[in-house]
Amino acid sequence: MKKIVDYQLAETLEEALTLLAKSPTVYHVFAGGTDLLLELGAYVSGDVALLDISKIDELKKIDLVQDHLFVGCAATFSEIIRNEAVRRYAPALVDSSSLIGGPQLRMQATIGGNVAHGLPAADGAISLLALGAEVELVSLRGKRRFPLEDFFVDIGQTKLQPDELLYGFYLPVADKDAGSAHVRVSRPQGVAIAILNVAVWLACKDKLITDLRIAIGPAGRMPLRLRRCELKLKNKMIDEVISDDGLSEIIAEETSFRTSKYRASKEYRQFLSSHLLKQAISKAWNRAKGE
Amino acid sequence: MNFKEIPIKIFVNKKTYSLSVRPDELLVDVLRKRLGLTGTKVGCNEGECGVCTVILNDKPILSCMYPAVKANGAEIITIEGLAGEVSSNGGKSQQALHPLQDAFIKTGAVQCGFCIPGQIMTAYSLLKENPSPSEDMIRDNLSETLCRCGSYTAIMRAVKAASENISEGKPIDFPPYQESTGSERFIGKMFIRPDAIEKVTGKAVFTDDLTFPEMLYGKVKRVGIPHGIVKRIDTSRAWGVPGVVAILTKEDIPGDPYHGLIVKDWPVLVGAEERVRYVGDAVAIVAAESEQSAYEAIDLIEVDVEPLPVLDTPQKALSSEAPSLHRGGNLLKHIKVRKGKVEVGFEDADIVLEHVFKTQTTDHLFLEPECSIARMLDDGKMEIYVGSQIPYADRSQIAATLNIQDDKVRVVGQQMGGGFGGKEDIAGQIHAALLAKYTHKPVKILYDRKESLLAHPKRHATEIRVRIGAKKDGRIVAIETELWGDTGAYASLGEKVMTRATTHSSGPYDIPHVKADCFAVYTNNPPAGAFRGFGVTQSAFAIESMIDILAEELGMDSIEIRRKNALRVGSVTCTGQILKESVGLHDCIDAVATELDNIAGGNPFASHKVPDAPHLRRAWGFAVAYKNTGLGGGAPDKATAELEAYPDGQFEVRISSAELGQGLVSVLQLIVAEELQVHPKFVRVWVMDTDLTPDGGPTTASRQTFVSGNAARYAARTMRQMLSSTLAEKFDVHPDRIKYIEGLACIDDMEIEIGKAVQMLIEEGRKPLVRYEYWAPETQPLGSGGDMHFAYSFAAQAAEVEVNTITGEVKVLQIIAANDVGKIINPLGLQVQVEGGIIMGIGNALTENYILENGIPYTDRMARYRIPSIKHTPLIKTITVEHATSEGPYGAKGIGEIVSIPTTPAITNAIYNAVGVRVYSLPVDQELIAKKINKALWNIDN
Repeated sequence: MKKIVDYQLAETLEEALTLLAKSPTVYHVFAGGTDLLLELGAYVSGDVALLDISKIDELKKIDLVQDHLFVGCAATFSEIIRNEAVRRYAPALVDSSSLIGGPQLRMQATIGGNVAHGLPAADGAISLLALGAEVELVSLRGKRRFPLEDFFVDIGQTKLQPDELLYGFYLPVADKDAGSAHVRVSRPQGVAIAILNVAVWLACKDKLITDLRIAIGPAGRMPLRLRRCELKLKNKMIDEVISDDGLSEIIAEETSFRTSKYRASKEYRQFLSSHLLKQAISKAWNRAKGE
Repeated sequence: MNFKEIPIKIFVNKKTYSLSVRPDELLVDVLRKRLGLTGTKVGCNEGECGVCTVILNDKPILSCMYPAVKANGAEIITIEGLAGEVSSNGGKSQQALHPLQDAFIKTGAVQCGFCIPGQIMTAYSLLKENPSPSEDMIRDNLSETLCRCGSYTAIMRAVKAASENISEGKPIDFPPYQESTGSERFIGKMFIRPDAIEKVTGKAVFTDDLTFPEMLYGKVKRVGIPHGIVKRIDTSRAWGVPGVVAILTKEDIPGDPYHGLIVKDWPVLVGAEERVRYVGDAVAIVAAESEQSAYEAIDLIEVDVEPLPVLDTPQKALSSEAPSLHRGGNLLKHIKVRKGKVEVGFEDADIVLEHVFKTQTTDHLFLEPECSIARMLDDGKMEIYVGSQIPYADRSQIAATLNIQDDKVRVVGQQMGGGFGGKEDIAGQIHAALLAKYTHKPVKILYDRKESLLAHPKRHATEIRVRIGAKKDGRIVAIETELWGDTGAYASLGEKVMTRATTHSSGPYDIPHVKADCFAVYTNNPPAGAFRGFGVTQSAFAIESMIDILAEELGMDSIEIRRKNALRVGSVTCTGQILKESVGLHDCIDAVATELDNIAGGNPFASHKVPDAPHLRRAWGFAVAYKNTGLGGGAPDKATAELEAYPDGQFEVRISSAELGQGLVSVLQLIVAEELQVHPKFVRVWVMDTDLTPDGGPTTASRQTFVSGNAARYAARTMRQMLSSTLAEKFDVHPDRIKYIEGLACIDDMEIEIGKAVQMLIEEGRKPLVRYEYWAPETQPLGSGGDMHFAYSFAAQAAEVEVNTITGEVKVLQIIAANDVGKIINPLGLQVQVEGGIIMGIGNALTENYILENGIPYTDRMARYRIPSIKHTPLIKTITVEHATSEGPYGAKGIGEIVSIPTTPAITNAIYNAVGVRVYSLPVDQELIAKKINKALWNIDN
């Protein structure tokens, strides 16, 4: 049974950070609330206090800032999907955002919530990783910004401190010969969580992949970058990559797939991984080539 | 800690509201409970079903996931704000429907109506943003708004029609659904549902929309342990919760402590030293001044249970060391069907095959969770407001527990947000009545989705072994089946369901030798009972898979082998019934085959590659089915209808049969209109009130069109005769010379308005009221060899699937369905019942699985139980075949279940045809398909 005894709707960042740092009440920070309210539904008990940051304008911003695209943590998936800059520079994020929930849920659910949960299969986190995002955290003590990859500590655990808010994400704005994509497989039964998510960003020249980033999940205890795989595929011809029968083994070297009850066996995930990777690479390639 | 109330101001449907809200209040609570805008519904409270969708600052949002605090300053539109008020003549205000509302009515998209406000609001926001959306956009935008009636095809038509109306000014008309070939004036023609307008405007009242002064909120303490003996129930701490008014346990029950539709084996409350048989067993009930207090009190009731080993499979329950769950042991029933000598048949066969098939437990997932309100009147009468499929059975069960006469209880049926068989058993009715009796206040018990998933009976999980023997030419000579049905903790309708599964387990075929044995077994799982298809859904999957396996072994075509064996007039069913008429199976097969040829051309059952997508394969699959109409098996099957005529030319037909979305109210209205030749708009239909409407019997077994339909028909016919006798006397003519045309009674050239005729009848001192008790034809019990059922409906379906050979994912692309319904009565309703039945069949095949772990549901919330959305909806082509059954109203027989039954095996047969993987167990497991296709890559042997 819900026992929300306090609800603070912060209007400024200052107000939210002060509450977090100074109030004796422990606040659950949320924006969309689509996960949190569910958890607080009929399934848990105890008193909770909520801090709603969804009305803080600067956290909802999606802006091109110099060589980066900034996506505020309280931007909803719906806002992300409709944003022209995101569609142009981060199509993988549009892909993943479109896969989350349904149209109404996406009006509320935010990218910050998706990432802050620290879950290894989080669609939003996977695409941001492939897009090379940096995360920025903010508190009364100041801001800190570092690669998103370093944000995750373990399943459900992140570097976010109790007095800190996730401020937003900075995505490098790629050159014109670059593209990205996010693909996933899920099940028609049970909870709509991905069996496997794969996101790819790549840059190309003629038939060559000149640079790429690959993210995958769930393939370990946190959203994962496939660094070694990236190195192996870099500077290869696209046709060579797409017809490569050995990708599965390469992926296996740096992933540890798990079996999750009622969803997928680790063998199935392993089997899907190379196919999804190729699919994501093809899609990203076609986008890079403007096809 | 005290709540900090927060002031907000919101603008709803152009009105301004200033109020103080609690931090835990959701927008939907404010709309429904504070502002009385009950058009917005709650289906899950999890952000899963979309029925609570409203427009907030121009965007569709889930009001059950939206904190009220956050809505401060927002502009909100709900379903109540959509229709414009236009004044008409006489100063009487009339509603101008929004084009979406109009289109939802005319396409038949409105069935139970519970999701409709959410559907319309979601579509409204789409059309605001884009007045001419593509089909893909409509699908994307409505993908989160679920409809368990499965009206998606009609919803798609409705949104398109509204869009064309808004952007091009095109008028909104009825779609070209198939009408009856008969010459009737109203029967078989397109008319809107009598309750459609209230359902699209948010005015339709479902039980939870009602409140009464001083109403209390009831909650049920459930044990949460699948098997054990209750040792202690301590309510003392719960009494400490402020606002608690009553806490009742077994000792407080004045009458029968058990309920049950056939066997009274289900405890109203389990007492100390008594056995707990499933996790949903109730031990105490609480009434409190707020829902919050009731929940808190429930949490504080302490129950000690000495756990016992959980019997979670029929096999475990029948093992020698298993304790008996009920006095008669754990075998509810061994059901036997014998025809010919099956050994002789197998000896005669050229080929004998055997396989085992398994089906999963499924949940009805009606979007309206169970809700009951009990209210004791000053004269001691107990009123129960509830959406129930069997109001009179509710009444007698409530009365028995309260230890009062049946007529001291009045069940007042409300609009039902779907039932599908899941609202036949008692849910909160008795508990609410007990609490109302003790508190002398109205008590509402509303289940949340978790409780709904936990408590009510499910579809039986089954294991079905089929052995089949055939000649080389495809003639089937013997079928032996063995069925195991998990009937869960209580009998419910388990015996009847599994009997139907057994008698239909050799399929709609004329087979000389049949032997079927079924074991319906009590376990510690949630009870299993009625669910659309009633056991035949399960056995049709088994036998129809087997027929395709046999066809392949014999090198025969899926359609040819069925034609060769299909029932026809003169055939003898496996129970020994000679079919004398109304067997349209061959016509159904031919209709689907012809359509299949048109759509797919030659060789539809071969696997086809998809251009530019080498990993995809497509193929069609085929299946047939039959399903009884009516209770059968010797059970008396009757319904009583009351018909009253009024001097203003209006008629009112009353019958307690349940309207759960299926369209019975239209059927009754059209039948009365036809018999009296008055326009349907002059016929009011009143259902589901045990004081004001006579007993129509249970709404189950696809029986209401036939049984209640006939009761209404004969009542109307009697009314016509009464009017004719009055007019005959008055004008001194033979009654046969009086004709009824367009609301007029005509004697040669003289025309008398029918209302005037009613007036004359009243002036004679007679009452223009008819009560007609209709008895359906007698049936014989299983084993007697006679007519076990008075009618059967038949169907054939073909499904086209696309299988991803890498991921194993399956998509249903197209369905062709032909149904022999006897006679089309209500074409608008029939079309959406067929399309919705197919959607439910797709869910059964692909998405639905109620999972239990050692008797405890893993599936404890809607997020863990997926039903099809508009995204799963294929292109559907339907054909209706009319092989009249002579006793049925105008020849009609049941349609509610048959439309859904062949879908699952048609899909699984198509999967086999596409990728060579046979599905033996439901639901379809994409991982298994991927594995079987890619054996070598997976390093597996089989």
